[in-house]
Amino acid sequence: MRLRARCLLLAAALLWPASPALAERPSAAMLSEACGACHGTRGASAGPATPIIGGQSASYIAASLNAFRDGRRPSSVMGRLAKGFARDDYLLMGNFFAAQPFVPSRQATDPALAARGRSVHEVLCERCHADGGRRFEDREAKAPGPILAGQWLQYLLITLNEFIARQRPFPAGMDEAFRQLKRGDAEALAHYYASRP
Amino acid sequence: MSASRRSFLRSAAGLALGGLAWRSRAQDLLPRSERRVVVVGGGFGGAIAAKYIRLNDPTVEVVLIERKTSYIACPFTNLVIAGLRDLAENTVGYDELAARHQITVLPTEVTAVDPAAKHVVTPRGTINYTRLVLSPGIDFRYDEIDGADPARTPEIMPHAWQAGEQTLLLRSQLEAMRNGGTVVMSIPLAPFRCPPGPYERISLMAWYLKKAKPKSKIIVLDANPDIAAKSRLFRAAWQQMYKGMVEYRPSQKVTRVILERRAVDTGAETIRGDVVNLIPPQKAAPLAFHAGVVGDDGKWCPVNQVTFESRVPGIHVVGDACMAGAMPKSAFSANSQAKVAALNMLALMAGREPDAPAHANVCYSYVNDKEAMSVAGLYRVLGGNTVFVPQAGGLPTSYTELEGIQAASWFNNMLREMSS
Repeated sequence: MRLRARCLLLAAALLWPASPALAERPSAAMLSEACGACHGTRGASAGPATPIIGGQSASYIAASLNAFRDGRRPSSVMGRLAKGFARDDYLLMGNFFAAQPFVPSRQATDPALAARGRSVHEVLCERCHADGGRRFEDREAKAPGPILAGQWLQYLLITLNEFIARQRPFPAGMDEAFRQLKRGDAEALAHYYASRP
Repeated sequence: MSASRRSFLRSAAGLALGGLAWRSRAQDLLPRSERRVVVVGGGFGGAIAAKYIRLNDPTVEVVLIERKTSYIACPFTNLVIAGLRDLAENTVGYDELAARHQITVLPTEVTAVDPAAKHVVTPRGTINYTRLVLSPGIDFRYDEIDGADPARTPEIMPHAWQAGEQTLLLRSQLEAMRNGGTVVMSIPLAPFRCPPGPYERISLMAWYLKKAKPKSKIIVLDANPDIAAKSRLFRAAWQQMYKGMVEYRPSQKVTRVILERRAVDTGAETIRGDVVNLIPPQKAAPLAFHAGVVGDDGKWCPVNQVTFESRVPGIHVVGDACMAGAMPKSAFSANSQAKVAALNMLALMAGREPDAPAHANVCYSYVNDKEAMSVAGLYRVLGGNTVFVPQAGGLPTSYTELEGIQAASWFNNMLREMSS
């Protein structure tokens, strides 16, 4: 059956007008548009556990893909998918999404938790996650980081949990900040960032 | 008469019909355009093709023809069958897609395609196209099962393999069944729509029965030699949670049904069920036959793997109806194929070289009310055929609640992407 199908395909291929020669590697749009099914069109995710990647920096996206590939970051499918791209592709996809707008999520958050999160943020996080998490400032040029303000609450909670559970290494500087978190602070931070459109 | 011979005659009839319609030269429904893509079928393939043509080249006019005004998606309907989800949550409209991307959405039917005149025929008039995309979905090969017919059989033995009334019928039959009843499920030989779908359904029906009617049993007659997708994890789930309830029998092909007795026959054995979920073997939907794009197998549409152009020049086919090498027939595959087709169709229209395709496929299956498991894969074209990228993909180590949360997020995005 399968052989028959293959023969048919072959026969059909012979009947087709010859295709123009193919570009050897897929373009940035070709590679990146496929991501939209899970991450939303142009990275504007509509799924609460899936991060908004449109508008994030190219270096952060490339670093994330590298961490997924090497197993330094836990994931549902990203660890498996990242292995199938060339490392050059990571920057192509990174540049594609960096050129898109960051479309903040609209979601309900807890105002009391968000207020507590703001206080924690101002002391421990503002230095790098500047402007209340709207920008990332790589003051020591150690590692790229994400926009957090307007990100999905569920995704933020899952990600903060991965750090707390020591399932992924802290980027430079974050270990000190996490050591100072009290019980409930991480959840409060997630509500703070998620509450900022 | 063999099935493929019958299919051939049907497609020949479809072509003759097309010719007739062309000769009668119905009125143009829309002003003629030199840069227009017509997309027929508003599912995961068609809606995405229409949207991504506009996203990548807003100078091309796009007309999306879909006979229904809203779409009921298939993924997650096994949760509806288990009583865990409302079908309304699976339903989306086209208004936002049309307004945001300036797509003309026409709620009508295509009765014929004329590739020579480059137009489609609808009851409301003809529409010319520069290129045509068909995303017709599937139909059932009831003619391969003795005693079965497309009209009456699904009313008694629902397939629930197209979402909507069939989903609700199977749900109501399960609800009406006595505690201690037998559910018989018949799975056709691959390829069929959604390879993990039957096995997810078994798991979720078992979850419901274990809770509501624990003396009941599910007998699975699978025409395939083994579980067609995620087999290790489904087997583990049944062993762990539904032991004694699920009886899985591989290589059992249903060849005859006795509707009045609600029984199926494999040639070796006749099995009666209180509920029979007969998932018949499948083929491309009638539109593909009308358009003459079905291959010599009389079932599916062969396409150029780079452009998704069918055997009829100017007509592209995406989604379950097409044959895309190693890619499974899934909602995600349809989404991915539609994007590749959109990019490369635009390249052909502009006289540019087509881009090398890069496809992905991700899907989640639930094994109970909370836990799920994903499958992931990347696909590229090698030597004209779409192949699985061996470095990527595969299964997680187990089904988990976190995967269940990811599954819900995945489906939110899938539905949102096709409808906005």
